[in-house]
Amino acid sequence: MDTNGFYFPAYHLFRVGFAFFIVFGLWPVFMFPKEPGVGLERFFSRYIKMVALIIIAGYVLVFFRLYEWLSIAVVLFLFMLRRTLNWSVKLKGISELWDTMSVLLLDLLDGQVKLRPFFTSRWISFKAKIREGLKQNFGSLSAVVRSAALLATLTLTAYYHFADAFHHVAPAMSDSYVTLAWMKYVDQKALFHDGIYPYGFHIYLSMLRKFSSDDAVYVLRYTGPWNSVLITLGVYLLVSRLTRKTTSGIVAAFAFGVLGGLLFPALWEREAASNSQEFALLFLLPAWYFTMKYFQSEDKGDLWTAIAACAVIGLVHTLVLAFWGVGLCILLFVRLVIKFRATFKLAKKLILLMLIAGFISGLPLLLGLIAGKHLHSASVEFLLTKMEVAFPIITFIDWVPLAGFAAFPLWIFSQKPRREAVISAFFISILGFCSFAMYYTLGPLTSNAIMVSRMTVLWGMLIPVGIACGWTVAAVVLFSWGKFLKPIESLVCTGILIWALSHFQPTPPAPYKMQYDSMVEQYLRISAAYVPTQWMMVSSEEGYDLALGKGWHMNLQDFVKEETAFTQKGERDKDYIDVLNTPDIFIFYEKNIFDPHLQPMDEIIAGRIKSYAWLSEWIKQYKKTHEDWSVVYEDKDIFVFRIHRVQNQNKLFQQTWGLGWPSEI
Amino acid sequence: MEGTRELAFGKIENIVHLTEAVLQRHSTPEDQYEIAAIMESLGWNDRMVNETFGCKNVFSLAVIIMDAIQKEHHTTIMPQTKKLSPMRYIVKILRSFLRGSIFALPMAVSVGAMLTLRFSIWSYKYFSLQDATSISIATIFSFATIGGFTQAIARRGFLYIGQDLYTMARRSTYYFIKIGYYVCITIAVAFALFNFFFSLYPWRMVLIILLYFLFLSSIWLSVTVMYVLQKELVFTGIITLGIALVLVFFRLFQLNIMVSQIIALFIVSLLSTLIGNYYFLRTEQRNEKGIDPPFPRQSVLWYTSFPYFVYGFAYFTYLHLDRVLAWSTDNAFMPYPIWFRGEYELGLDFALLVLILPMGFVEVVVNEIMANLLANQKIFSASDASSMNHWYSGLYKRRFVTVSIFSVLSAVILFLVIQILSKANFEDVNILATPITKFVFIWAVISYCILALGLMNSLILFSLSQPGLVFRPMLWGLIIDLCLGFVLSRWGSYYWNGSYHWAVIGLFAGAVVFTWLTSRRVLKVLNHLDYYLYAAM
Repeated sequence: MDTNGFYFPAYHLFRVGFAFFIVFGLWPVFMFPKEPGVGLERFFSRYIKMVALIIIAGYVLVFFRLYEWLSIAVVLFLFMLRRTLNWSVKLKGISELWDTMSVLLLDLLDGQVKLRPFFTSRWISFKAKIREGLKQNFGSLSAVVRSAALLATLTLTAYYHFADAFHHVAPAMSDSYVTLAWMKYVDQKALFHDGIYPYGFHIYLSMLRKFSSDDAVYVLRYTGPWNSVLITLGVYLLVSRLTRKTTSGIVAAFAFGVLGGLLFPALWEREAASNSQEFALLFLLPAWYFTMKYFQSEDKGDLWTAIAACAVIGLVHTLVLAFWGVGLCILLFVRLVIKFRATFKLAKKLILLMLIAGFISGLPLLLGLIAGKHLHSASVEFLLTKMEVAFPIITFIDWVPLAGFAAFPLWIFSQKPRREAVISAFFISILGFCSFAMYYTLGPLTSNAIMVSRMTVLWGMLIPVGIACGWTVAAVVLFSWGKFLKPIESLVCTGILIWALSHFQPTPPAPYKMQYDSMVEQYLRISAAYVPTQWMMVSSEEGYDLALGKGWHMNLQDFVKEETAFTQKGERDKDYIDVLNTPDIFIFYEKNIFDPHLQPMDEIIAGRIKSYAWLSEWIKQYKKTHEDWSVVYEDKDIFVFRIHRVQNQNKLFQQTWGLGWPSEI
Repeated sequence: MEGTRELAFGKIENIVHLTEAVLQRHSTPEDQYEIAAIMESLGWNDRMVNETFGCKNVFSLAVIIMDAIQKEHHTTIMPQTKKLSPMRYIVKILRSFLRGSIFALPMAVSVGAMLTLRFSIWSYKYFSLQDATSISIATIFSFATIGGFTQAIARRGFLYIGQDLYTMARRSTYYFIKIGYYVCITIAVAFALFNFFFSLYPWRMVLIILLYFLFLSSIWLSVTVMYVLQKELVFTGIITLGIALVLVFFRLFQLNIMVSQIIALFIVSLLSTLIGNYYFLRTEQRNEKGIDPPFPRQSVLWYTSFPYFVYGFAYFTYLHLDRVLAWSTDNAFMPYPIWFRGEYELGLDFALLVLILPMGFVEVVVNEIMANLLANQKIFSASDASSMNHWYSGLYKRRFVTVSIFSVLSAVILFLVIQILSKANFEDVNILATPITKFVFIWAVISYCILALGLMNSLILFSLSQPGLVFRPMLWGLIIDLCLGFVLSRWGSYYWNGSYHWAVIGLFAGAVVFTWLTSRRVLKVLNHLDYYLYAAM
């Protein structure tokens, strides 16, 4: 299994991508057919609503223990019917649809209806649309340059963010293993297995896994980088629409997607991993954008998108929801100051719906508490951890966006209608300064670990926006004197991006790993080659998260304690030891113990050293006294020791007809 | 008479036959329009009339026939319904009963082979769970795919055979068989492609699924041909031959069991197709006389067969849906989306035996009702139609109760036999040892007993040319089975200690809904029997 080649990751990326396209690209077109806006705006509007629907439906179905591919498809189908048919006449509508389809089929059988003209007309209209799109995006020199710059930025973003996932199959960072396990718990219809925590992202991942039908490891590996590409698109959307300048959007996207390692290293590494926080950040900027747009357009579609985004953020990550709330307050404040009467009426409705969305976001917590679950202990511990830190040093990287935010109100003078521009400019500037102030003060003043670590990330989201604001003002000053300067603005912008690329030479994010790639590769090989549930792997703790839902796992420490691989603790509600009848057992032995060089891991690594020493002796003894073993894989770091137990016909018969089947333990 | 002048010499004899056929339908037609309607109901159209008799259209021929009837005064004596002697009556009942229950003969042969040889043509006692899953999926797939075609073939075939149009029967049968093969191949390719993208099952399993699916589908299509031609015994013989072939390949040549079965399936499907074709041609040569109407337009064929097609699909899907739901319940770790669960299957397999006796009895009842219907309606005068309707409603209700009692008796006998076999540890297997098997067995027996009543209703409605009244209740039964079975299997699995077998309640509810709805429809039809008889003509 060559997981480092091109074909292997590309194949699995295609599967996950295809599932994404079907569930979040194609299906929403039928579910939400009349979305306002064009292109990217429409995509985000539909995507946000679909994610909200999927997460809420997922929560409800898991809660009622009905979470399965079939039930999800039925829910989505019913929702689609709700959109396409009026409920009051739905039965008549279905009947009419049925009749129409029947007549069409019969006409088709009699040759009354020809398929060719139908497809030809569709093809002609499709070609016309493509031609129109090309004309719009590549119709002039400046448009060609802008489109090329945007495409290059997005390609580079994808390249940087997918690089780690393409080259390393092992999940990135320790959090990913938790995410992996929780995704699988959702698959097994179990909410809050390790305590109450927003499960929105895990439901989303589980849904992608269900529709891609691929191993959860691949879904996890590719979703994180793809989220980063979507965040970059979200940054582009907000900045380009807010500043009414495509080049500003490109600058912001470039700063976020390509120069992230330089501008916000704390967030950059996490972008290659798959975590709830980054997923919530995906919706942050579009949520602000659609809220702003709602005030301008008063369109219901925008309102619902903003509400859905709020619900998604709340269902995924509480801290990001709080940060989004800060932005909303700033926006309302600015709008009320500048356009009180118009804003007050719309704000009442918005706030009411936001409160409902907030309530929906908090509902899982409430249900979890009612069900007698406790809060996720590690998160609570992190929340209460104190960390004495000094005020951060303000660097050049902070000064540039701050300068951009400070200068941005100047842009107002070039815009009409001016009042909306004033609102946009002051909203973004105040938000930028607030975000910086939170980053600068909250950590040191509260000494709270979350504030210390997460405010950096949130400020990181605003840095590209600040830089783009600076560019906007510069572009207005330099290139707004005549139409002939437009291509020059695009060329200069592209030139700056090329210069930044060659000067800073950004590198892809390289998050740390918790185990060798070869260990994960071997798990994937086993899970693909052997019948699920009929094999067991003995390995360190990370193996549990990998094997969960596929095969059985025995912790190395338990193996050492029990001194045999042939017993296993009953997992679910029962706490008994039972003999497992798995025909194959795979013992993962680390010749060179993997050390992620993380302080909390030191004690665990010391334990593993002892366990592996004991295991080495055990394997030697086993080899001497048995013949049912083989080494199925070996490299310089690990080897996989397989024990295969042949089952006789009677056992096979008992298994087939329901006696002694291991899954029933 | 212009029409008479148009007639070519030598075709007069055919017109005489046609006139007789018209008069058989209605001895005293009102006018030429009624004759035209009867002729159209016999399958004549303008083109045929033009080609056969040289008449301009059906109406001009109807004028000729009306003229002929008026010239030669026809009188029909009201037929007296002869009462059968007790002996002949018993023989008739027995014949109907055997015809009704003969469908179980191949199944009995197969069960016998399993008990004695440990294998049958597509089953084996020691299959691994993986192989059992693959073959079960293939079997379910094949039933669901071919179910609609078998119904369409059978109904269409019976329609033409009933009119002695054997060539038409063969053509329509092979038309649907051809489409059936296309659909099977399309589904196989689609499944392989789907698996390529989504890796539902390992390719070894997919290969087994596809091979068994294609061959089993082919066999079901052949069975239908035998059924249409009333050659069920021949098919039982072919199945026995197939088992013998597996025995030779597996035991004598020491081939792998699956390879042996696939070869046997291939030979059986090929042989049954050839034999089916032979029987058709032979029957055609013996029986075909008179007109050779052109094959109906595809839209007409599909439109008239559609209710049967939907019913067949829904019925066979319904029969297997609960096990799909049970086998897809994730009560621990599911290896694949659908995973064979022997305890559940065992309960259903043994429960299915309960249908053998009631189905034989259903055939007797339907024959009793339908065979005498044409004769009996002549006992009642037109003004007394409501009495006839009332009499038939009463008869139906009485037979409903009788079949119910018969089904309950059959269930009790089966339960006792299974209990005895279990206690005796027959074949070293205590059939009802596990609570799951016992639970599924009991509920499935009840469901099948209720279903037998629904099937009786279906046969009555089909016989009265009311397929539209059958397929909708079947669809409702299927939907109820799906919804209830899905919810209960999932909740049972979680809340009631892994009880995925609650899916069988879906089967039960589906049977209740189907039988209840069809019973209401049968009563509605029988309460207006005069109208429906006229409509069915």
